[in-house]
Amino acid sequence: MARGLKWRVCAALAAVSAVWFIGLTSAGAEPPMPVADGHAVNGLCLVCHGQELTVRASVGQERTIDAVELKAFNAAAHKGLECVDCHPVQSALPHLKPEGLGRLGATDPVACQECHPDAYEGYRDGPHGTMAKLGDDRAPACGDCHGNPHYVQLVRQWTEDDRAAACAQCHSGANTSFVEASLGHKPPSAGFLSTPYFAGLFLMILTAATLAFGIIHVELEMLRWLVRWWRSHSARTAGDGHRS
Amino acid sequence: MATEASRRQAGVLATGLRSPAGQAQVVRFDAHQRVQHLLMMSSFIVLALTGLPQKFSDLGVSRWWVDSLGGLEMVRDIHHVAGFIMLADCVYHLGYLFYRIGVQRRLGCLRMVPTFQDLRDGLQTVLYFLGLAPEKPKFDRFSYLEKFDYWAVFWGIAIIGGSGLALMFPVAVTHLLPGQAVRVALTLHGDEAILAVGWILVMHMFNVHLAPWVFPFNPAIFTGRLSAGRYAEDHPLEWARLEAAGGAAQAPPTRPEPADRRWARAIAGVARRVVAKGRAWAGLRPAAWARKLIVLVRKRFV
Repeated sequence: MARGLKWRVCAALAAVSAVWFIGLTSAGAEPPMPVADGHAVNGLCLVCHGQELTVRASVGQERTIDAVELKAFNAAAHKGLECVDCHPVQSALPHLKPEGLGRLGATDPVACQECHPDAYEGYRDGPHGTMAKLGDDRAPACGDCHGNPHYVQLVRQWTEDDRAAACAQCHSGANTSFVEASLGHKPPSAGFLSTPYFAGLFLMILTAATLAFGIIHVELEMLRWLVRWWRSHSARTAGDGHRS
Repeated sequence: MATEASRRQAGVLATGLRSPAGQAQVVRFDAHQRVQHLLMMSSFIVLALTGLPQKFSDLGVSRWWVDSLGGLEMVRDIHHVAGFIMLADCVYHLGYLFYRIGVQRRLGCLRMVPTFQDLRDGLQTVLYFLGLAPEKPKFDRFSYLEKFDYWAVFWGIAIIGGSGLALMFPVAVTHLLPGQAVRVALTLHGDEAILAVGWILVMHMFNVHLAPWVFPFNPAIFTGRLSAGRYAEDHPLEWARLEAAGGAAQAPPTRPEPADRRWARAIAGVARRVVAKGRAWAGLRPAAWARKLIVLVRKRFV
């Protein structure tokens, strides 16, 4: 396997060098885009990532990277995207070491938010996002519910049972009714999840009215107390002046 | 305004209740009520300190506080334990009311039931604050604000406690109710908590700590006692009743109002029915229940 991989890498590099050389020697032709510029085509990435890889991490531990199956990828929701669209920092060769990637893992919401900003906001505002923001390691990222992003299908094409199964990975026993509890990343509105929306609206009005009542009550009480104190103080002062 | 002589005549001093400074005192809260308040206060503070960082998780200080407490899992465990203490306190209080009213027929608790007089008192208070009324209303055992505080806890426990349980067991809830119930619980739990914390910070803190006439704090809910002078000033109607009773310094209202008697009859009737139904259903007496429970526990765990 490793020997075959080496040959494939050599062949790929030779192919890239040949294309580059031809480009340079062509009269008036523009130089080809360098690989590191973020325009690497999927085919080049799949020379290595088309098969399962075992890489050695910097700490001396080996890590396995799953193969990306092009056929399945092209049948999934993200077909048509380039690898570097979601893995921008990996357009450089050699790749950055894992610890240099920060929070740009393949299933990390930070990688997904570029194309799905609304969903990302909804995720951050929800209970799963709360876990992530407060540093809980158990916080699910996008891929934990939606599956491998290379083969992910549009959620609207999922069956109710598919959704329930995604929830049941962590919430044992989750049924289709549970899906409704965590449905999507869209915030409740009058037309979508209207009951939670109006419950929140009611609580907001109740809170504002109650606290406004409390604050006004306290202020008026203090004002009255100050007036009484000032009057009694003035009366005492006047009395002392009269006696003296 | 009651004079010191009239207070003596009322027998306040005769009960032997005196502050270290020798001032006559009136018993306002019994031991159960003080313990219930202590449980409520401590669990409320813990719930607020562990719940607010989750509500405002975007803030950096929330992350710092959660990390300081040992991580989100630990914070949630603490939050749940405090929540169960609060719910247990609520059950304790309901049992206390049930026993006081239904069994002992002591009706002092019923003075907490709101009446139209509270509405009138509230209106007169506002007019007094604005200088449009010559004096503050004369309050009975509980003022309208104290009643509001008390009933707000009932409302809050129902909303926050119920939604908290739904959030703890979301899968079980969705087997019984539509999934939207969990979303509603999530909304209600956080928003009602803001209301509760806001109210405590604004009104409760002012009335028992920050107001110049009680600063630094009113200890009555911890000691159970209030100075006679303060009592006569804050609760003149109740004080007049104590005076008329001629010495029942720590006695709750001795002559129930007709409305109180109606409430007591209703509650006692429900209590009797519940007890009778329970016994009929179980066919056992409490001691037999306890024995059966012990046998069950031994079989299961020992």
